[in-house]
Amino acid sequence: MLLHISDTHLGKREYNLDSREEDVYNVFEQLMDEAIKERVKAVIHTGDLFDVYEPSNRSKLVAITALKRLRSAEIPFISIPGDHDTPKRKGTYTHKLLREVGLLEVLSDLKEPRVIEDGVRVNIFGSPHFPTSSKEALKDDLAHASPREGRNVLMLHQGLREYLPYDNSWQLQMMDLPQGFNYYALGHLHSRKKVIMPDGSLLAIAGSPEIMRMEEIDDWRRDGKGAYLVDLSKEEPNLHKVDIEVRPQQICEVESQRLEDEVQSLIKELRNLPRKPILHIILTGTSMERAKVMKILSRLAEVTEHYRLEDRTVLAKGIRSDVRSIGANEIIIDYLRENGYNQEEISQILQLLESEEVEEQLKRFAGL
Amino acid sequence: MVLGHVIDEADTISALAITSSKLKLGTYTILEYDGYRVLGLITKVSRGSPLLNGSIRDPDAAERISNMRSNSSLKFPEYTTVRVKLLCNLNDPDLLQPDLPPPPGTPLREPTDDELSQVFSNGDLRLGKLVGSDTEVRIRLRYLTRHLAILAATGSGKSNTVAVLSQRISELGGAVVIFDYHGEYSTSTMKNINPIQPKLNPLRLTAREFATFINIRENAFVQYRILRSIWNSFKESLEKEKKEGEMKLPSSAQEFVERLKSLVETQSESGKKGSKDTVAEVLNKLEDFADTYSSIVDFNAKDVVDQLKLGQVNVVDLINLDEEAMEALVSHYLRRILENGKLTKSAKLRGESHNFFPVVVVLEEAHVFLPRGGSTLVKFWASKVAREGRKFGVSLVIVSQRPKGLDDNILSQMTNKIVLKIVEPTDKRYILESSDNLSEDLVEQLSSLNTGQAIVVGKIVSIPAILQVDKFDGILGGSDPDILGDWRRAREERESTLQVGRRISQIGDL
Repeated sequence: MLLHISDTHLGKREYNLDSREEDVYNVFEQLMDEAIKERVKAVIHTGDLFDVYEPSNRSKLVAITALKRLRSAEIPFISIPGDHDTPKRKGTYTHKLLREVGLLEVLSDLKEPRVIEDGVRVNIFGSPHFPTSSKEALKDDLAHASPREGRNVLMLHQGLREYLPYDNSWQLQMMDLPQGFNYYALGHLHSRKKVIMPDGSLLAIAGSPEIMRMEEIDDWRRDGKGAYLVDLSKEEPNLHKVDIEVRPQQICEVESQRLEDEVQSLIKELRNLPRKPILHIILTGTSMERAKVMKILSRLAEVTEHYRLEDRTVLAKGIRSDVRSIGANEIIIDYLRENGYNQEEISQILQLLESEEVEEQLKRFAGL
Repeated sequence: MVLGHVIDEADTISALAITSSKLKLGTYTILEYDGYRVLGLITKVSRGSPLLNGSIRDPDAAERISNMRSNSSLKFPEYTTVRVKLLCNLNDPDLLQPDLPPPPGTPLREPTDDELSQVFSNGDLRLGKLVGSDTEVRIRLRYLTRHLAILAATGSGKSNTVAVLSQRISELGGAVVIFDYHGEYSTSTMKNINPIQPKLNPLRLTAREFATFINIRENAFVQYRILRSIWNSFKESLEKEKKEGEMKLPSSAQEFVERLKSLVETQSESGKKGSKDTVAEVLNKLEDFADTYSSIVDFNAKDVVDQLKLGQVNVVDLINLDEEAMEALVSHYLRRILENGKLTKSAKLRGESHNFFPVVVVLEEAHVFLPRGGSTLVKFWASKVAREGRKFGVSLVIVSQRPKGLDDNILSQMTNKIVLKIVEPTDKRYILESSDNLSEDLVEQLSSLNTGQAIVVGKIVSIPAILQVDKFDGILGGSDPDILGDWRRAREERESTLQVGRRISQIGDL
């Protein structure tokens, strides 16, 4: 039995809240508890262990403490670095640091599997994340990964075109995956997915164990968050969901005229939740004075961990209060193109810019 | 110098002559008799000796007799006979065939350069030189309105001939349009190229034309009815928008089809036209149209006739289009060019001026557009041009390496032909059958032509000529690709992609 986890993003600090940082640590610890409780043969982590490639001491400490517990239980932690773990310039992976002190193992060569005994021989292959501009090299490497005697697992942290069909966001299509593996363990996408392949093998995306973005709320409601327990005793692997309890989040779309009533009933409703939720208020209808809105909303403070406002009210005919529909990427692309960068270079620069670190900083500047 | 003498019975078409000099096949000769000066072409050469005739049955005797031949002290009797095809009487102003055969004993002599020029160089456009001489072959452009077929096997100089012909027409101030199937001419170093964007403006289509593009057959009159009415209301809606001052032209074939579809839906709601199935059929066909023709539909495209330039080789690059799109484009362009010729003619009759000029249209890979059997829209318009073009100043030049795949009706209307090397027997027979002015003995010679050599028949020349077409002094885009080089480049490109990709992915220290 293996425990497949992914995209733990240790150190991620949403809305600049201590509690949100703790939430992320908390689910990681819960995952370790599950691994120990289930006596798995190994934990496989498919990338984005940390939120940034040079994480804070606090997040490293959390990782070290949790991984030490796992080591005492003699459970190896087999990992590959994700895009967030990858240095953006010359630098050292945090994975290397943790491997040096014997807390985790990193797979970096698709030709050399890590072998574990779990009733049968299980060969675990894996590759660090490859950026979009290197996808041909990745495909070439994948073509040279050949399954061996026993069960075979392939760990990757890549965007699959089937789930991320936008330019620059995918590197592989399902048909690029080499054949003959029993379990394709993928990370990167934050929603849980499971695909039974034509040859009976299984492709699973473990998803993030916490809600990292508002967009993940719907998926969390439907599929939950957590990890997969993978049973490889049979040729066709068996998958069990392990659900982790996360801080609840809720999106509430409110017409500005009804804001007061809605807040009233929300307070009643949210009071009963086991943990204080994160609340996203989307305000529609005609515009209202900002101070007044904030005053009404302030009553939510006692029943929520955090509430935030997305103002989509209409100021005048056709003009919305929020200006976020401007495509920053388009402006950047135009600028770079005018300055003589080619498509390849532009896509690399965009990837650098798209890291969440930059996004968070921009948001802070913009006061969002 | 006398080369030989006519023997045996001669007629007005050919004569047999005996000679002691080594006359070669395909050379010209002059026979003078009874006030005629006849140009002849040697079409058959035989050599023999009465001592070694076909009745010899003794090998030893044959050896002894042939030893005599090497013995220089003896005169060994031998002869050459040639078959002379009588081409024309040079003393006749119209260069007609002689109406009196040469009497026996008529001497053969070499033609002078003037005599050959009188026959072959009396045209306007130099195409090349007579094979085996320095005499220019010039074709008479005014007879190009009787259309021209350029036929040849692959690699025997077809594109070169088209390039020479087109460039020289443009240099003479004429206008040529080439439908460039392989992108040979648009990427060539030809002077005076005027590239024409292969775009089709649906606003210039007739309802019938549009119906054909979207595959509504003639007998599907209910579908046609629906299409016609939405087509007209679409045009009306644009007119209305134009009047109101705010016109929005569709930016793509998809958008155009969406607009038409919405018209179908409103019309079928009003309930009078067609059953549900028929409406669905029309909708399907409209959607297919958007998929098939998206590459060429452009609502802002200028009419092709407004893009044609005088003194230029106008090249329509078809290389990036698929067959349906090419078909649509070529037929539409042919129609617009012919219609404009007609308009000009009738304007002139009314004493008005219309600034359209005669055009030579070159259709490459004609067997694709004008296949034998089956009817295509290009075929419809090409036959119309073949029939009526002469009156309206539109000449058609069809180019093909598969003559037997060509529509025989159209081929037979191409009264001028430039035929380069062709070996395939059925091709040769087919060309012969579809030409009134090509004789069997000429066709027989097609196999023995070298690259760039051609037989020209038709009114563009006074008499059939075998010529060496001039070499186009530039580079054509269609020459065979450097396949080894392309493979090597592709591999190098891939290797560098992999290398760079690996370097980027290994930027961090793991």
